[in-house]
Amino acid sequence: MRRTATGDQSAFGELYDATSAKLFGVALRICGRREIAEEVLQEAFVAIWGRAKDYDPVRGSVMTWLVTIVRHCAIDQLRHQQSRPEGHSAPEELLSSFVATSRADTGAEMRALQRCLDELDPQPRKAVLLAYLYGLTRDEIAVRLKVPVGTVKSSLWRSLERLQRCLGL
Amino acid sequence: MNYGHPQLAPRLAADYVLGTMPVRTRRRFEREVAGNATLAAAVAGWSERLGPLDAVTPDQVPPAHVWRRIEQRIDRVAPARATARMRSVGFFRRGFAMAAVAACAAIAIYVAANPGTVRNEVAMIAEKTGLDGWIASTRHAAPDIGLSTMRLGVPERERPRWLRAALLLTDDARPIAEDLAPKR
Repeated sequence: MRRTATGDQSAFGELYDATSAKLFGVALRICGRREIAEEVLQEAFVAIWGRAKDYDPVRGSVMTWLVTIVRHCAIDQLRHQQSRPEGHSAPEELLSSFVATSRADTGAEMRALQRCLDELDPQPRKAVLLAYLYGLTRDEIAVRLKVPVGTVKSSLWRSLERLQRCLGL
Repeated sequence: MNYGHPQLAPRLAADYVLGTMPVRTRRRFEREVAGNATLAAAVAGWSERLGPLDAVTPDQVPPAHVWRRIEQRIDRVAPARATARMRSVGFFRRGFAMAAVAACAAIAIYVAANPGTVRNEVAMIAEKTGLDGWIASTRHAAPDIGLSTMRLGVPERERPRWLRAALLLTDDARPIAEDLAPKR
């Protein structure tokens, strides 16, 4: 990342090789369609190239920073297109399948997160997962859960407060 | 919005990381995070804690054409570095302006040194892409000689008065002014 920030194109290529599969997986999870996910990945990496000098290792890992850029690019793309992919799995099912196949090095962190998510009531937990896993807006969550937007907003706040305490933030 | 409020920072950071922040608010928030250590720490904390949701998302190898397109685009969007200066429009404009003076000097010197022999000498310097450049030429044979310049690919109002030649050609396309052009 440091070399990429200096304009080293070969280092940028190495960064792409090392991270694009993970980031494309994240983009595909949110967008649901490969062609949109490809566009998102492209936009995200152009943004990464332009903003590489802004990355500060004190503020988190490289992968966390990259994932944040990809997620926001994907969310922007979906909001711009004003369309949602059909056939998203229920977030709890998706999460269970992820956890079942997770690697040992991510297992402990995932279990800690899942324990905290399990402490939430079912509907607020679903709202948090729909937002994070699929990039749904509050309005879209409200439609999906068949509740008023105000209810989604307040339940998200409460859920995040509880998660904050549980995760020790 | 009071970004410095101790209870607001983690809430906003959570909203940001969750992805539920409206686009405009998010862009404003990102600018604020860049100079606010408290907010930045809150964002980092939430990102790391929710990160396992991404870590367990299965990898998907993107098709090769994605990288090709990225490469094509980053060639046009170079980050701050030395070559960026060379690629800037301003650099070429300054380069061409300096070149213009020398080009006319080269033609004028050649004309003065070869009275009666000049026909329609043409001097040209072009950008590597061929999209931009300059042409200078003599209009008539001596003793009634005038110089004119023309810029390629740009509006007339941007044409300069003078031009430098990288190459000066005679009617039979023989380069004759290489030694007259100032060395860089």
